[in-house]
Amino acid sequence: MSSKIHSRIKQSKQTHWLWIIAATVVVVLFSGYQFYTKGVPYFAEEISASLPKPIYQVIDESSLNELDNSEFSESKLSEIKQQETRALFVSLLGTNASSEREFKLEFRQWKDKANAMALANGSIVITDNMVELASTQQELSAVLLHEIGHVEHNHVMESLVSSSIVFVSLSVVLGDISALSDLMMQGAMLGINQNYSQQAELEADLYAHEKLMALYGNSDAMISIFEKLAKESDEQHSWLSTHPSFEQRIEQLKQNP
Amino acid sequence: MDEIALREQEEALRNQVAQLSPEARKQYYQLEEQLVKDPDTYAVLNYFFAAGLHHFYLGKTARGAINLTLMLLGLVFILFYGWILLILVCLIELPQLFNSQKIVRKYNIDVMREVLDELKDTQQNQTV
Repeated sequence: MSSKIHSRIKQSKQTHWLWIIAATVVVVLFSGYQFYTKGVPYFAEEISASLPKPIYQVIDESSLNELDNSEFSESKLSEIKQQETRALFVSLLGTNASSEREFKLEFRQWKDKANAMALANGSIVITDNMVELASTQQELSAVLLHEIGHVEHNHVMESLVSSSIVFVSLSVVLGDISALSDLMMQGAMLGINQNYSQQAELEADLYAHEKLMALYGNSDAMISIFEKLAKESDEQHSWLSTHPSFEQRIEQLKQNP
Repeated sequence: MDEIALREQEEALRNQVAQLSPEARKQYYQLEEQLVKDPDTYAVLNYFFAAGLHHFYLGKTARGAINLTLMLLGLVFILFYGWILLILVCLIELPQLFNSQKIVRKYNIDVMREVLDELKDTQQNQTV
């Protein structure tokens, strides 16, 4: 047999498959990375923006009902304090009159913790402890504006849509290899929620910072409420935390005069 | 190349193989087994249109590398109309998926004709 045929067989058997395997690995890894970091946020934003209003309303209401049944208890805040806070909330919304969302403020108790949260369609829940912790009007404004920022940036719906996109994509790619796909799915969800959530918190902080600057000429109240929350919080910050550390958030505010 | 032409070429090749000596014919079939490509494998690799895997399979490394490079560029600039590049490459490569049987048969004919020529040359040299 001639050497030409020998070399042809060798080339055919080895080099071609090496190219195929190398190209597959590069393309799968790179396209997966691009999809995860660019595709998912892009589609989440586009899909969320195109969802009709009733979907926002249903998710908002069902989330609040679910939380009322599982986590929250009725507020014990005085009627006067609630009215004062609502009045402040309405005044802060003044600039958001054209928003598509239906803003409303709800008072609840949540395991005696100082906390506040925004829901998809503009419902903002603030705990009694948070209202008490925010001792000045400016601090309370900082908390409320941060939550309004979440609604204005559509963080809740985008986070839900992101998770759904990852879930559907991995189901299509991995099929029904239950143990492996469950593991990968949960890992991806955790990653996307953690990453998205931290970015969203910083974005909402910046929104509140800008509004506070316009209203009061400074955002010191935001730093002071973060310091109070940091003292109150007994949880250790880790890379798995959904929120950035208070130190990181204060640092960001100081860098944005 | 249409179906009839391919069949004629394959038939001609078979006739030439039949004229080989038993030893050369044995060598030919051994080589054929190792060198011919599978149209289904080609078609499956073609699903990765823009990555050019099907070109690598047929040994067209340069064409495969061009496809791979274009795909990676398309992915890098996906938010800056890179997706247009990906669609274009897919559109160019798509017809090959539907013609995978013909493409691979033609490749196999070319390869085996070369092998046959080599074997004939070897036979002639040995006779001389």
